[in-house]
Amino acid sequence: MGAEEMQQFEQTVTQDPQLGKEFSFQKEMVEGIQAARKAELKSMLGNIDVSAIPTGSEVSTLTKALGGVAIAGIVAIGAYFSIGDKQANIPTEEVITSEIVDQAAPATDQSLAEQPVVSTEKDSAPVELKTASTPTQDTEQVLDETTTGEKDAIVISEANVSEGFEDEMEVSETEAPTNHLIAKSKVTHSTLEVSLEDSKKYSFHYLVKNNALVLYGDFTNLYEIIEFHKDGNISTYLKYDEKYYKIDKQQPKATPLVELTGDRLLNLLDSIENNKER
Amino acid sequence: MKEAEIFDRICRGDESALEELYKKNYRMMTKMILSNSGTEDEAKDVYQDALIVFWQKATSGNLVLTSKISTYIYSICKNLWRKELERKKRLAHEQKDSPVFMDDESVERAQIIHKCIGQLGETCKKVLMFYYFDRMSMQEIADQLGFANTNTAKTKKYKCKQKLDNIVKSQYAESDFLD
Repeated sequence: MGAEEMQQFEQTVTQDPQLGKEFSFQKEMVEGIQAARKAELKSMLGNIDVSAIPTGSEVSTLTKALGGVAIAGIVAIGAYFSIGDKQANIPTEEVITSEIVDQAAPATDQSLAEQPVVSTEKDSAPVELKTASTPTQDTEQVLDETTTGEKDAIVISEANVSEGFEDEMEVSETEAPTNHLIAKSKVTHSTLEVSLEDSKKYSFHYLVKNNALVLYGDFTNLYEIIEFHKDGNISTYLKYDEKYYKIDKQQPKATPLVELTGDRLLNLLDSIENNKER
Repeated sequence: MKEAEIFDRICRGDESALEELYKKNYRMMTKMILSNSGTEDEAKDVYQDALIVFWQKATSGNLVLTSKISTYIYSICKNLWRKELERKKRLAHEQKDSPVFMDDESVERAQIIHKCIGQLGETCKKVLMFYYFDRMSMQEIADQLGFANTNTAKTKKYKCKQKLDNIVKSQYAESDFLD
């Protein structure tokens, strides 16, 4: 029936009580037949034995259990190799983490002997790379200002940092090709929680709120957070796609991630991470 | 069994294909509901309802699948469950405010019709169900039930419907039924 015909029919049904009654009756008959067929099909499906089919919750539990076993295995293997390395007394140990006092170290002898302690989250393998928030201009400036011609000085600095590094770290020779001394570090775990969020507004930004770092954008590759600790102050950097970014926790709103460009800082970060120099 | 084959069999009204589909996707569909505050029984119920919706569309010949069958059924499940959750929420609020009014008459009428359908012969039941629910064509009904041709199916359907109407009307006074 076309729309016009339907309208006409409905009018006729309304006007003719007998026709209206028959129409209602037939409507209920059809609905009854449909309900009966639906009940029949449901009964047929209900009789199928599903006990052999694992439910979603069971599979989820199984998946979680398997995932837990896998993680435990990976941790055990990592611990085994870690213990093995210590026992072997490897003289040169690649510095993975060190607490770096984020102070501009004047290029003095003291700074040579003292190494920043950097903590990274590299051990949490597939995790986030924390990106630095601010460009290294300030850092670069400090680096330049503090240089005293001592090429070996390692300066990890914030703009207002003036103290030298604390003598917290054992300094050991490393494979670093540069003159930078890289401290043997102890692994520390960052307290910064990191989460990833898709946002139409922010394509490559970050925000730190309540000690939680939110990364906005398409962070599909491995990333790393590097934290430098000194005197309770923490400088945080993100490494992503072989680039470094400064994280400024004081930024009140989502801030674009800007790649660090200062060679000295980048060299230090690289050497800490990979023993390589830009 | 390939998906195209399952779909083809379902379109032709093969109930065994529906059973296979049910078992094949049971875990995926119920998992979705279980992880959205549903119980096992509710998950089963919603999944069965969704499958029946799919069945009805497929057998009517009006369904053109542009995705996997499981994807389609999954979206039906999601919609049905969402509606159920909304209904529960609504009911919870209504119970707080006022008593729920139940239409006893229509429920009673539905029960009467259901009972009378049970009194029909198996072939009559099938013909009417295939026509009014599965929306099969007369040719398909003839093929399914082994009728000689579509005219035979048409005549059978007419006679079965008349019989049902008479059973319903005769068992109860017209005034009881048609107010």
